[in-house]
Amino acid sequence: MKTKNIRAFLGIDVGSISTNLVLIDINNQVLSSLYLRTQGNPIRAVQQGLKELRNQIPKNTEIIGVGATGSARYLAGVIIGADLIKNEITTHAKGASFFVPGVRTVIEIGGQDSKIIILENGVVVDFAMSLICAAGTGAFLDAQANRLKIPIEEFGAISLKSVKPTYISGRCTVFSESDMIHKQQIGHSIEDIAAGLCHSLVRNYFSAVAKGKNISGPIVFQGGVSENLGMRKAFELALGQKIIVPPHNTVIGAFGAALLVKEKMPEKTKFLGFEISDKDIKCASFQCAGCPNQCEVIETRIDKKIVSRWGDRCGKWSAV
Amino acid sequence: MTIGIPRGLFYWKNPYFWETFFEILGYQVLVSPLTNKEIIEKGVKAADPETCFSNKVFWGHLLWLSDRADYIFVPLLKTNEQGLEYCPKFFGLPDLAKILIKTPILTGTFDRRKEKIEKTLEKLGRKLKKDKKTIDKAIKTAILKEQELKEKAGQDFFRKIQSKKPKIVLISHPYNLYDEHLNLRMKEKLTKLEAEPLFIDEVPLAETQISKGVKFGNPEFHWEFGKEIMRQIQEILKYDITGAIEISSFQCGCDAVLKEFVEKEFKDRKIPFLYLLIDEHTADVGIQTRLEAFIDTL
Amino acid sequence: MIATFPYWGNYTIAFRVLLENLGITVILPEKTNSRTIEQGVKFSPELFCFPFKVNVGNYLPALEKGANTIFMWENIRGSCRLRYYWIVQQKILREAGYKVKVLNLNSKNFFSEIKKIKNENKISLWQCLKAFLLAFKIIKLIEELEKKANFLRPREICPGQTDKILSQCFERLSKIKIKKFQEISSFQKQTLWKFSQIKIDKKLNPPKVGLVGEIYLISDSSLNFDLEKKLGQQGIEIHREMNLSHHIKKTAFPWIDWFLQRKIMPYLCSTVGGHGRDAIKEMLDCVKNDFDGVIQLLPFGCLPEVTVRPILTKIHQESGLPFLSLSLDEQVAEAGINTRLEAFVDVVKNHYENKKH
Repeated sequence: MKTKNIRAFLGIDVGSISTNLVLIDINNQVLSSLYLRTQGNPIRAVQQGLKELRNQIPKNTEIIGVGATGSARYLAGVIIGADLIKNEITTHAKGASFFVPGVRTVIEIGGQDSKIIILENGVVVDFAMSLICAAGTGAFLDAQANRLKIPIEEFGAISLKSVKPTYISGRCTVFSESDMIHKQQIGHSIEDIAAGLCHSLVRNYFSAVAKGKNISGPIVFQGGVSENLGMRKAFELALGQKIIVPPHNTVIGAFGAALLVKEKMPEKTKFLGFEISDKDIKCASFQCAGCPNQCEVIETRIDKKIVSRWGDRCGKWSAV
Repeated sequence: MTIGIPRGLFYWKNPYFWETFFEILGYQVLVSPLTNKEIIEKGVKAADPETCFSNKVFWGHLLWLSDRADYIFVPLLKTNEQGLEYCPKFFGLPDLAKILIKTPILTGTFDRRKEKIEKTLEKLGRKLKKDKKTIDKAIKTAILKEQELKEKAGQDFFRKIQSKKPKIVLISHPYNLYDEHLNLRMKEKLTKLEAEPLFIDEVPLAETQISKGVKFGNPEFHWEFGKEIMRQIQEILKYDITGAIEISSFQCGCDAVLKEFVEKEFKDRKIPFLYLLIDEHTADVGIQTRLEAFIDTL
Repeated sequence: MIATFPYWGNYTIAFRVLLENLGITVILPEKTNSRTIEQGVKFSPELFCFPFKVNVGNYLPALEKGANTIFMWENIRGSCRLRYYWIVQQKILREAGYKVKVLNLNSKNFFSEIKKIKNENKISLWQCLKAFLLAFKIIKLIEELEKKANFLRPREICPGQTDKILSQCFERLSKIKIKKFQEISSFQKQTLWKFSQIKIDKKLNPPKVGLVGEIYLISDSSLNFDLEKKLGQQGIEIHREMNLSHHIKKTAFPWIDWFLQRKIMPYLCSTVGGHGRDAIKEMLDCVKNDFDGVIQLLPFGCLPEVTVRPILTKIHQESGLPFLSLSLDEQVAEAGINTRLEAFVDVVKNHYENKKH
């Protein structure tokens, strides 16, 4: 007799730094979660993620819905066959309010951007996102940890040892970096500089991202940077209240996407199956010369067959 | 009762004028301290990220005063005695100040195209329930004080222009020039490098040059500082000038226009010209290096 | 005289008709795209406004094709930098080696300059007047169509149908030579008929969002990443009061300004240049009319819009009306804007749903 299939929903969050996959069952329990580096190649990251996921889960798992999010959500949605493509602000809010019902503020700092989300009764009422500056993101912390020659995983713990954090000025990567080098030269300890960087990041966050936002508790801190103990402490000091780091804090965007697709409950999933991780997927772009708009059209091919095109304004190409 | 005056933007347009006025009216006047790191930090945190640096510094001064004064004076400076406009950012100052802090804001609209300054000041004094005699005295003393300072600056200028050292003109708005933090202590730095710094603001202009309706410049700026600076540059070019430095605060919209024409005046005459942009990240070390290199080219 | 002028969304058509009917040879500025922006940025002063750089980028291909005169409005009554566009543009283009004259039109020299052109091209007073009337009629028509499209998009049954028809119409309009009023009215009739054929859900009452901010950006879809189309297709009805005819009306009847100032008095008691005060008034109207959101679009660092932004934020906090402010310049990527817009649509829809309960 055939065993009953485990029915599951997949959420996938493809950002510029990390690619996360979360698989949940019908009772919202996380069956499996993955955190991978995108390394500039979202297609390979998605394929790699699916491959690893297949190895982790029982054979009789049946995926009945897929939600894609993150800055590469359209691309991911096309190659994986997503039933729902949702922006990362909504998915992060969804994930946070699942673990902390009644959450009012979500602080999310990821690899390449940071966000603040204000919720009321479980729905987003206001938000902001850092625009172009890299300071105040995970990538910046990574680079500085590298410069200080400490592994990023230990960065937080090291910074906690600081007694008197160094004041590091600057809102811009370049400026912070030059100031940090200067402080290093004049003999500040690594611990103090690490803690100083955390404080500087938090200051930047409040002046560049969270400006004018009505911050009230409960406050949730999530995203890759929320792993950093030094950052948690710096935020608590700046806010003067406790912050909550929810479970699955680093993959919560993907989790939110899975929750959202579960709510939508597609009749029949568009999921293309785990096989796509072995297929030849190519993504290319070209500039359309059809009109003065000169749109950049992006084209995805699976096994040399065009599956999707987007980026054009007139709809000439995306109609394929 | 204490009246606070933020030491930024409008303050430097008429230094000592406002505090003299309010002191004679019988108030204790508290001018915020010279710009420091704390003030900058406060201002940058509170201000819109896309506003100019000088403006951010101004908000820092305002916040510093917020729990130290009973009233804070933020006038709405619209046009000067020649009917020329101030920077449009000045127009929003009192209303934005009200949003930022709870301390009551004392204000008045100084639009000299419509009303003489004495009249506006009188209204302001009436608002504070002062009698006409005291107000008149305050106005007179404040105006005298301002004239006195201007004369002294003029005398200083003629003394400095005789100097044998290389003469460097510093061009910027008064709120950048006279603020030791914003002008990057340029005066001190240049003196150390054996040069004679001259502030463009100190170049005296004759009454006939600045009276209302006298046309000047192409384009003829509708900004009071624009027209004045261009005229003062014309004036100072009559002397033997070695170099010029323009200091601009980051995101200053007016300077983006002005610079095109200021730079041209010096470049056309082959006078070395250095353009410095300041904001909260400006590091002293970098400025010193650039300055030394500039002096070497003279 | 071979003339060109700043590209400005669909209004470009009206400007072309105006100049052609004044007997001027016209070379159209190139439509804004990533290449023109890149070129414009290269030639322009770094800290100048974004629209200035966009203008320069649009002129360059026309100058290469032989244009020698640029028509530019000089805003002598305003307090913003638009006043100096013409002279700085002339300066930098000449320095780059182009033999070009930027013809600055302003409210003082307008009639004398037009008279000069009229005499040079030997056209009658009636022809001259007609040219302006034709152009104004086209401006009104363009605005009517854009407004209609904003109404239809969230209601259409077949997604994308409105935009297909809209872009076809503008394409046709930009190709025909317009010399008579009749041509406009027959075009208008045909177009409106086409629009009436779009199947819509008449009972639907979609969430409404007001679009406020800097006039050039908000009325040029090639600059604002097709904002109206994107939001419309996600089910949002966009309302935009600021447009060229509104601006012309304000210039012609200055007392409108007095009413505007009276309305916003509790928030701002002076002009701050540009359309800063209009943004406040429009946002207050959105609150009054029970809208579900407001988007402010501004060029990065725009003097008036940046000054009023804290006031808009305050109105947003007092009223709870969702508010999104987007500063655009050459460095902003479309993907980032899309994410914000999509998230904002979710916020707006939440607001809309909450209102029902």
